[in-house]
Amino acid sequence: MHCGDTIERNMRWVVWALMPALIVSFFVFGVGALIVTATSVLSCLFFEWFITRFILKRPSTLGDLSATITGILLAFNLPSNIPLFMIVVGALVAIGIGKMAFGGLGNNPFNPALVGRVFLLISFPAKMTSWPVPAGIAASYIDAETGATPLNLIGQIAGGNTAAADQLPSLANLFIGNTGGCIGEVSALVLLIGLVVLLCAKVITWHIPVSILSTVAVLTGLMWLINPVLYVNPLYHLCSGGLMLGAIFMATDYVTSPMTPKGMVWYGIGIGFLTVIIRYFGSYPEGMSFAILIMNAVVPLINNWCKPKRFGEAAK
Amino acid sequence: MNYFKTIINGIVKENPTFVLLLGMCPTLATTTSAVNGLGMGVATMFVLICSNTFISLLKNIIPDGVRIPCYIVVIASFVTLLQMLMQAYVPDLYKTLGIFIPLIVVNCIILGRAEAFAAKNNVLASICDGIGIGIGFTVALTLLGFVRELLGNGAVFGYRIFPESMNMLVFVLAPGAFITLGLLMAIVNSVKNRKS
Amino acid sequence: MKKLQSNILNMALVLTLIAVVAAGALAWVNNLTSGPIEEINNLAIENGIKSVILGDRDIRFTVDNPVEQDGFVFHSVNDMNGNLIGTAVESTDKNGFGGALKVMVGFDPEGKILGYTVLEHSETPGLGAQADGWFRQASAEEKEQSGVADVLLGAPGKPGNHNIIGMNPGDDMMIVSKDGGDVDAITASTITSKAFLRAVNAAYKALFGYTAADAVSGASSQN
Repeated sequence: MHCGDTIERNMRWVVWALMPALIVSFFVFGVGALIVTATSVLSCLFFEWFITRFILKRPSTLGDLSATITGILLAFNLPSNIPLFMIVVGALVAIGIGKMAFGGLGNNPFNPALVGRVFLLISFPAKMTSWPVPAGIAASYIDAETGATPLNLIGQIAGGNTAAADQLPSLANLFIGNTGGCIGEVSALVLLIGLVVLLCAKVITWHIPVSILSTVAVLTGLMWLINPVLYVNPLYHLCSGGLMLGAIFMATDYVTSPMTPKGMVWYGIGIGFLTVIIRYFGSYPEGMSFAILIMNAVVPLINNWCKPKRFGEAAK
Repeated sequence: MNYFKTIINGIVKENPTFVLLLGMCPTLATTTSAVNGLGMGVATMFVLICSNTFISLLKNIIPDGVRIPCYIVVIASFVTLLQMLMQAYVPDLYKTLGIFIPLIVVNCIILGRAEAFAAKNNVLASICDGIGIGIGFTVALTLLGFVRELLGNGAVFGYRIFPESMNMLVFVLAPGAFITLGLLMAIVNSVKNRKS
Repeated sequence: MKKLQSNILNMALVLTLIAVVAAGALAWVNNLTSGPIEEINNLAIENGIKSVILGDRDIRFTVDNPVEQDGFVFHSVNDMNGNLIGTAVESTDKNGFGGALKVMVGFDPEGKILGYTVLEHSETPGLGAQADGWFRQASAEEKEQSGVADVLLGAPGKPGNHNIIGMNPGDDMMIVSKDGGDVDAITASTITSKAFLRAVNAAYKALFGYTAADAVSGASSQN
């Protein structure tokens, strides 16, 4: 940790920075967004308490807010009409397998919320890839209407179905979040506000988010220049799917990201590269969570490679 | 040598899956359901007992320099025999397990027991070792298949218990095999530690 | 008895001896089982023809000698008056998830699918291996929403369409719905589903010369 900081202080800022996205999703998806987030946070807190108390037999770690953030991030990666038991399963996997099985906060190689989300994505592919269309604050939780998200459409266009381009929402709608998707990922605008908050509060540095976003922009931009009919404008890629949410809130997790600025930049480039590859060539529409998990696994190597030189050590 | 002890040893103290961590490939690949796990376990046990018997019989004829090729020939022959017999007389089981049967050849439990046990002990003890290790492997595979089928398919030995909407597909896929195996091993070890 | 020494003569002799004995035993068992195995395979083909052409109908029929052509095997089935009831086609697609996928599809004289069966496959148990049942299952009825249980456990999935019996590859787009076709892929087994439908389309094409999916699959194979 950085000197003078406490885990709690940073975590509290992260929670505050996530709040605007929750408010927007309430206005976009209605009460479902709140139900899912509340369930996720409560189950994460419960499993954190249960496992520390009865299995690890350690003092409670609820106070450090890390389980709360895992809960919020897990919920933000789910569609707003997902059945509640799936959220509980996801929370159990996130906390139990993603974090506690490795020895608790600080020892987990992978971002717990993403472990939970990927587990759910592979377990329940149908539920996890049907997103409700934005129906406003009055949208019902159970029989929400579902539709294709911008990323589905981008995939279809790249697959040769160029007619799907007509269904793409306008960039402005995409930017403010009036589109289908997971709870926390729809509005690029408020996620960027979250980024500014985190940067001002010195909770994170710019290296990871900026390197991820610029890598994605450059790669999709190149493909757009090569064939603008099949490959959409890079701005669509930047504003759609979990890219912003992942780049700002999940890739920057202290425990699972590299320690040096140089390492962070390489880590970000890796995530951006993998995301574009999976989005265009993978079988899932979104690759952000897989990209972050894969690069999480590489972090020890990056740390080893970008070791800060000890004072007085000769350059190699 | 106490033969009964040899059998128990193979099931508990040297359980091939949970303790020795041998034969992970078929363990992970075939246990998508309890029946598949059971079938694979029994098929492996058959080959293991036969190869243990023959290798123990032949242990003095086989020169050390070519012992591994000889073991492989013996094991591979038994696997091929088993495959042909199953295809001819139990076609239904063969249809479900067909592609996994040749995998028994590369199951390191069999070569491992040939090298570590059958080559040093008499025939009767080797048969007991084959039975013990075989049962240990079968129990472990059935348990793994049981958990994966229950969570991944909502069923036990084909009988549905949970509604289909609750199936967790990941447990039928490869990642689920690793997660289940890891958790089962953790539970087995924690029970063992508590006892001692 | 003392262990044999590892000199070259002993090693060569013993290894050869063991190999010869093993080969002999295998040859003997092979001789013993090849009869029953062939019987079972023939029975499977015969039952396959019966089930893909007749289904539950109980009529007497005759099967012409199989005709082999370009890797397809055609079995024409006639009723007792010599009128063609349908043709069963054995068709293989090499690119299933676990390797080759061999199916037998029955078409009536107009090209409508009467039935199918999977003859050989190496697909994942529990996933792709469901192909034998999946493409003939009547799609699930849409259930009434039932409140609390659905919130907790999830509403039943939207009824999909994956029953190919009665479809005609000449008129229907027999490719997975992800690619704009009419058939829903097996959950989480798109590769198997695509291979299966390719095999069915190929069988139809071998029989009638064209399929409705040609245009689309031609376009999508470019990327």
